[in-house]
Amino acid sequence: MTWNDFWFGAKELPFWAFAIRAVILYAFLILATRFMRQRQIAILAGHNYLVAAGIVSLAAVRMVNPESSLISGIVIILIYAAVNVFISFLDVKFPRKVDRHSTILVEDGQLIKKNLLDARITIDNLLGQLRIKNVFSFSEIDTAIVEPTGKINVVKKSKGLPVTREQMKLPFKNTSIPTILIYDGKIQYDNLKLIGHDFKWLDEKIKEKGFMEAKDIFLAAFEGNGTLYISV
Amino acid sequence: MEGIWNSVQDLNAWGFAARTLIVGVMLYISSRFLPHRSGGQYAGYDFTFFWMMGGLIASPLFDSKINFINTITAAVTIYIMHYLISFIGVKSRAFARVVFGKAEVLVSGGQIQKKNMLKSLFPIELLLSQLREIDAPNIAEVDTAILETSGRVSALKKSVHTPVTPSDLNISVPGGGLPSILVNDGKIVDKNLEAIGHDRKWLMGELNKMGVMDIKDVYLSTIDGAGKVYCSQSGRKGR
Repeated sequence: MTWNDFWFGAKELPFWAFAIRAVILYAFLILATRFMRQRQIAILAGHNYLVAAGIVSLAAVRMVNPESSLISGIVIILIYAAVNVFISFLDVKFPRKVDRHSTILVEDGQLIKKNLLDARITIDNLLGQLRIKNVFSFSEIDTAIVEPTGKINVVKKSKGLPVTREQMKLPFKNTSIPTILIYDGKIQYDNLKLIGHDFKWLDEKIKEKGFMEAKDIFLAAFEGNGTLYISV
Repeated sequence: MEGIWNSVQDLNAWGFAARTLIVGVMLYISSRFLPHRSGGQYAGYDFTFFWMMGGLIASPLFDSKINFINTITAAVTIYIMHYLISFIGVKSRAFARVVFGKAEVLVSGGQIQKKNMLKSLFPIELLLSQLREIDAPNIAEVDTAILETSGRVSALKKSVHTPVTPSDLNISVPGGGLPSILVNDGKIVDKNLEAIGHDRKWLMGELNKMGVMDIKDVYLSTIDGAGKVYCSQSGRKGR
């Protein structure tokens, strides 16, 4: 086997060449997926779906067929990913032109027959999806929408929603996502600085909770309500 | 028949039928060993791995020139790579940030972050649709929304719009947590019974109170954190 055979394919290749091919193509696919962004991973639009199915089977076939060229495999992955990114970009620039748009199925508690027909959703499909969303009677629904991904989402009437803090006139409570301060025994100094505290403060807090050192802690996080969560 | 396992120029329908059965066996074996996180698709490389495995395992059916040895070699290699990436990612957060990507903040303090939206190729329509999905249809109620590495959006509502919890009202609630199984299809799970500090006699007493005479009639029985016993009997009709 020559280098040429490895890159451009030959009648036969030793089996370890396929292992190296697999490594290279997988690495390029990971790179391509990073470029295609998170929306690709969750398959949030039609073109994301088609690319997901296409790009990997293209790579898979090239991985195991000795006669196909590895170089063209790499080229296809990168260009196909770029096409996908471009379509996503158009989706951002010209909304509603690229992806299918969402359709309202129920408005003000009333079913819209025309839209149900347009989306080709039977009443049993709708009921099944509503049950999954924890809605068991039509009178609870304010709005139901079928999303471009095919999922059906429901906005319940506000009188059917759980009581909120505002409605109970409860005092303001600070909410924010937790900040990780210690992971696997290592202090995350940049995060510590972000929340405006220093090592001394953290050390005191840890001792307060009855721990000796940061080393003993697997995870410590600063929570929205100002407390420190610790797990050893 | 030698074309079934090895690569040949042409293969008839029977040959491909036989290959399909072998692919079926491979499908079973690989799904048995699929890592949990690949199915959850937490990050891009999970996504790639998962979809790739599907294409790879079926690849001997694409073309008669593709043989099984190459397919298995490639599949095992991909599997090892996925394992290594996961392993290093767990050990090093810096590595994880590069390969897995990082979560993007799309809404912060109630304001949509246009820069991050563009960077993530995320149109407004999609954001609103994803928020509806997680029961935050009104963006005015959202304090923070984050696009996770898995592509799902999570949202933290402003505190005034969060539901009231027992702790807000200073109500103490016992129990909670996962219930543990005491009887599974007529068989007592002694390990769980021991863990909660009770014995078979106690369990029979509890079940007798619910009108169960024979342990064999119990399809499932569980106990929750508050100590309440649930029992479902075999062959008993609902409403």
